Amino acid sequence: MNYSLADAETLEIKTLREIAEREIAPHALEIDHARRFPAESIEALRREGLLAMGVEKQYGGMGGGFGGDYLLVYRAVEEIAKWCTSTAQIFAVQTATCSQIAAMGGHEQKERMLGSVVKHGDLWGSWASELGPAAMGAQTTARKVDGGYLVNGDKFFSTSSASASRFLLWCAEEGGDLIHNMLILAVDAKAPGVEILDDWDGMGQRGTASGTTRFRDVFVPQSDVVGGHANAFYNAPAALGPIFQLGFAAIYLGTAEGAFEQAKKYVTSRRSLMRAVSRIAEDPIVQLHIGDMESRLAAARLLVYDAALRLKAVESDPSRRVNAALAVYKAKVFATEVALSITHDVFGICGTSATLAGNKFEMFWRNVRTLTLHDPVDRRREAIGKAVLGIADPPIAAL
Amino acid sequence: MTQSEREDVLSRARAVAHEKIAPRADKHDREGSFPSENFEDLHRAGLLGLPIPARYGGLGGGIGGDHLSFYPTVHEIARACGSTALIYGHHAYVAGLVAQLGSEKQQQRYFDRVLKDGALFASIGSEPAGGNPAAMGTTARRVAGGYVLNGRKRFGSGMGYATFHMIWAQLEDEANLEKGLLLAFVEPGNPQIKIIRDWNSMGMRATATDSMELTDCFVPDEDVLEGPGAYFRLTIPGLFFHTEFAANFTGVASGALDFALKYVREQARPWMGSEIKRAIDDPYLQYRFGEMYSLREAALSLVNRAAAAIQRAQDSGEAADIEEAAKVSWSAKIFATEASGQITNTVFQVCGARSTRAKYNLDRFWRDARTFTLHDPVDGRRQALGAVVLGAHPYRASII
Repeated sequence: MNYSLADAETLEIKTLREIAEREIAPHALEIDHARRFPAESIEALRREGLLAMGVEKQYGGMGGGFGGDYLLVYRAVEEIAKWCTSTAQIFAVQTATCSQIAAMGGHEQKERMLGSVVKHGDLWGSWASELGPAAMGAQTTARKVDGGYLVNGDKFFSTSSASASRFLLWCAEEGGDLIHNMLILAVDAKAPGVEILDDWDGMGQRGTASGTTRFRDVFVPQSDVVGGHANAFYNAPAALGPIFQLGFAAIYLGTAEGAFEQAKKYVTSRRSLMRAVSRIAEDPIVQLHIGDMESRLAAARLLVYDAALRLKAVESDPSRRVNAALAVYKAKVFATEVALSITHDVFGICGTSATLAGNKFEMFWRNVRTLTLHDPVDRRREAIGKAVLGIADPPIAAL
Repeated sequence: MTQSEREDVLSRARAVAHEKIAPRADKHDREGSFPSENFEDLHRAGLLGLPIPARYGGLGGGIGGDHLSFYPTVHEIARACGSTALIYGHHAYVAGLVAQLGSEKQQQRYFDRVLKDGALFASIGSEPAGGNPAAMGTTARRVAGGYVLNGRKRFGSGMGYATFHMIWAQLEDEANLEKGLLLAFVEPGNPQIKIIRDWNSMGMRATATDSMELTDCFVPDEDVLEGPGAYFRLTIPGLFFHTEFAANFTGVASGALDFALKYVREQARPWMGSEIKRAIDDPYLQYRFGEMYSLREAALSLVNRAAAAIQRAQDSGEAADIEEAAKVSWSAKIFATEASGQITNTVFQVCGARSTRAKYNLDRFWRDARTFTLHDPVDGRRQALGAVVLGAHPYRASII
């Protein structure tokens, strides 16, 4: 019997951990250093059928996410992030995309798109953010033409752009905006007019290929308009924005746990340069920090898991959407702070040697700092604050 | 030093930092190369002589001289390049020890080289983990006319690029550091030393913080400061050291803040869905800038308060003044550690995900602050401060 959410460990997570330790962890540092896509990690996940974790069981998947077990997906993201934050982001986008298709798509689209994830292990990427004046700007537009749409525009932060075969493209119908006229289009990476630049040079998440993609008169047939019409996204029986957002919180959490595990090993095996103790771990102040980090991680874990259950509840009761979104935002705010502080503070207990090349501490730290900028965390605070004060329902973030 | 002389020093530092040092900082960070040309420019501006007593032709700042002019200078240099300021601070620290412990002849000789040729001092103290933290593992054996040094040093900044490397060694057969600590100078090119280039850290990359092996390295008496244990007669260098670090941390934070102000004014875009047309009108950005600015101002104020307290302790030599100066300088270091960590981190939040791109290299400040603040564990400083504040024991000088 489980006495807490945090005790629940499924067979899938155990299997995933074995794969992560064996096939994801060993190249994490090298992938970061070389700024390359973690192809072998994704291949291992594909081989084990884990790229279909976010696909509903009725379409042959493992039943994580929409229509199934939300907690499973976020625990999987967290577990992968302990070993390689880049792989975790790619995996989080994959599972959230599957949920998005499942929640928005028509039956034919689900059979075709999700079925192919199960059968061929399709990797999905995301074409959402832009570098233009507004973060989720409507600079990329779709013009209605015979049988579909013609898309023009530029995207940045295109996760998995170097390697995914299919993408969800977020754009506005020509003349409209992303709030009232948002289209979600399923587009092939090799579609004519798509140009992937693979120019991601951020200081963290170096393996995610989150660079520029250009669209010049890219034709998307009506059958690949997810949900068939504009705004299917906002009308779906799920809080789709928060589903993405919680994936990020799970990555922050997992990365912080990865750094924490590394620090525990470090302080129990190393001598102290500056203090008169045989192992760093015997320093009472170090023990204080470890106790503090463990407590904060435990709290972050519960917030993430609790939000996962609340997201699930939206499926049967759409009036719980705001409740779920708030839970996700709280988890994200807290996980952001915990991950930033733990990946920063582990240096303080390990010392200067931990800054030298070959240690994973810097990788975790850069990855968390980079990924927590996904959207301004103060806006999530604002949304929570407004809701608590009764000023407004929180705006449900699109991404 | 008069107030107008102090202002002159500071404006010189500001000019060199802004015009010469800042434009080179990213290149040296990326390459991990030593910024020798920065020290030529500091030399030309007369600033390598700031910590040298006026009677030898210096400006008379730092240990034994004017503290109020010194730390703001470090702050300005660090604002442009943390690595350069680190080397500069170490140079001043060693110059101060020479001024306090050196013979007339030694001071003439070393200071002449600094003022004429732009020679740099380096302090080579740290050693690989595993030794006895209460004593130096590098040994000094007394022989006729000098000492023979043996040992391995690690994390020695300016290694091989400085002219005078001050080696911290322990007199052989003397277990007590306070009786046996010896400060001896070696120069690069000495065949009995070997420099090992093993500094590949995430931060302070331009400091050449490398290793050195000393094998039967003879140092004549003329290159040794006073004799074993002399260091522990001094009270000011330890206080100087912590305050100079605090000034560096604060300077790095100021550099990051300068970047963020410029970026948000010129490039940031309002958040989607917001009614606000200019990013600078966003209440959340305003709030975060208020938070960062006040942290930086508080850190700088503590540095300046520490400078005044050290000045008073130096002038009076009273135990109570020394203890007070220790409490303030330790507080400055503790606070500047936190403030620099927070500011160099928050700048990303106000600038957004785009600011993580390689062309900005905004993470230089963040990596430099995180790396240098690990130099000696700030928690040890907190604990030491707490012990003094509680009265567990009176203040006692230590090597750092």
